[in-house]
Amino acid sequence: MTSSSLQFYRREKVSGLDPAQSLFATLALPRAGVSDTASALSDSFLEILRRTDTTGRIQPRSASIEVTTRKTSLVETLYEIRANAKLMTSRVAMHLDKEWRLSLFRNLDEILDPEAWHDDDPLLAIPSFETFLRFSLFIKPNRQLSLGVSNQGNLLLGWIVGKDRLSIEMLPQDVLRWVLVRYVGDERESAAGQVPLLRLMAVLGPFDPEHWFADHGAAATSR
Amino acid sequence: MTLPNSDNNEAVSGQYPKAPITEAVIDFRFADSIPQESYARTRDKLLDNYPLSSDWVEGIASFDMVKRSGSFQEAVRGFRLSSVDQVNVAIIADKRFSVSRLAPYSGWEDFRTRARETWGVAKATVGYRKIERIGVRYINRIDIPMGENATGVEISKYLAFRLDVPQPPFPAIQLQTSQAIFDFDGRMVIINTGTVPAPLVKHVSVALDIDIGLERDVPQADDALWAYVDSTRDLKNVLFEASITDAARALFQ
Repeated sequence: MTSSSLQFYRREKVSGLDPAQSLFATLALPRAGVSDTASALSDSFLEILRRTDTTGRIQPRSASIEVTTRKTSLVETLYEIRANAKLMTSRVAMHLDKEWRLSLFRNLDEILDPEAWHDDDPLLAIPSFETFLRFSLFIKPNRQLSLGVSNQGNLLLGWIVGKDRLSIEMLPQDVLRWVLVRYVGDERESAAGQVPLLRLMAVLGPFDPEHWFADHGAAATSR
Repeated sequence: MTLPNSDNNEAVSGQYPKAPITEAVIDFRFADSIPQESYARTRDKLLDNYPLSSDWVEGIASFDMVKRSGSFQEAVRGFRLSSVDQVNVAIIADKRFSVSRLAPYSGWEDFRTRARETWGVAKATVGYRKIERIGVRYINRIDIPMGENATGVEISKYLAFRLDVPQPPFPAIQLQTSQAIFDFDGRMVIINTGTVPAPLVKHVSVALDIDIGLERDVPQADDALWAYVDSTRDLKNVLFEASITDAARALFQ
């Protein structure tokens, strides 16, 4: 059963005649929350307030703007990258196998370890990591993770089965750059390309991508 | 009005293997500010459970479009503490104490235990502060798979709490955000729903945000305080189950 009745609710003193008052002045902006979903919801409501503002001025309300202290030290930089990657993983953690997620975090801690850092090591680019997460949940490769970082900061994934190799570089915005070597008998075949994530399996189809991605004995990516 | 009792409501939320919770929050707001000198001591005592800490600064930015000038004023300063995996977060700043659990949700008992322990340490360090608001908030994100050649999803199949749009003349909704506020015997319940960016490929995501706050007759003693938090969680469960359909429940298995 649905109801269309609307009961008047006044949360604060607002005047319908005040030209400086936002149209939706009674909109309650959420006050607690640290997740990306909380930020997305707050952004939606602030956008409602902005678009329906009756004056030419932006009215600051109770919304808080988080400003984090930015330090330029390497330790801080690596900490922020690790934290951002783990927070990003948290957004989809309900779809991830626990052991796979913990393995991913161990990998991240290794490639972003300040104790083992060299001056010419590339920093992981978070947009690349986002592509990696979406790749993992869409393709669901079943093999153990082995991560590297390209000179441009993009995540590199590699699979080796016998003499057959597949490498995929995770570019931002769901773009993948791949290179493979596949032996058919004694015949060596190689190929390379760059495709959107949605097209990857279709493009790799002639080379049987499950040859690399499927491993029934290893930890699955997702539940 | 008699509140629904989760003990006799068959639709109470149980443990879902893939619970759509992206954040659970227990939030206390104080009448007076926490003394600045207490921040560092509180942080240090919580380091075992929250080894990572960063400054938490809230500011107010003001713009005058006529004068073409702007200003920034720091309003709040404190700490954001987190576990190494970033899923357990505590914020202690000015008039605020909050504990959050991000996905993957570990269950009410685990979350509540951690929150109460954290509160105990903070209260022992900071001292008594009158609580003027208690908030319990659960933010859910329902990730709905699109069909093979589909361009969208029928949200009403998943969300009982929804926007009814006459069609025709309106076409399919592109984006939506809604807020409804209810008074449950003195508890203010805010239900925020809306489309949010989908983190999964070929999915549409909808947030179902249940925010329950108490600002009248707020319990101050710890036992009464946490009994209230427990009862609010029960109410949240009832409201959550009433807001979704069996099709949504199937997504959480």
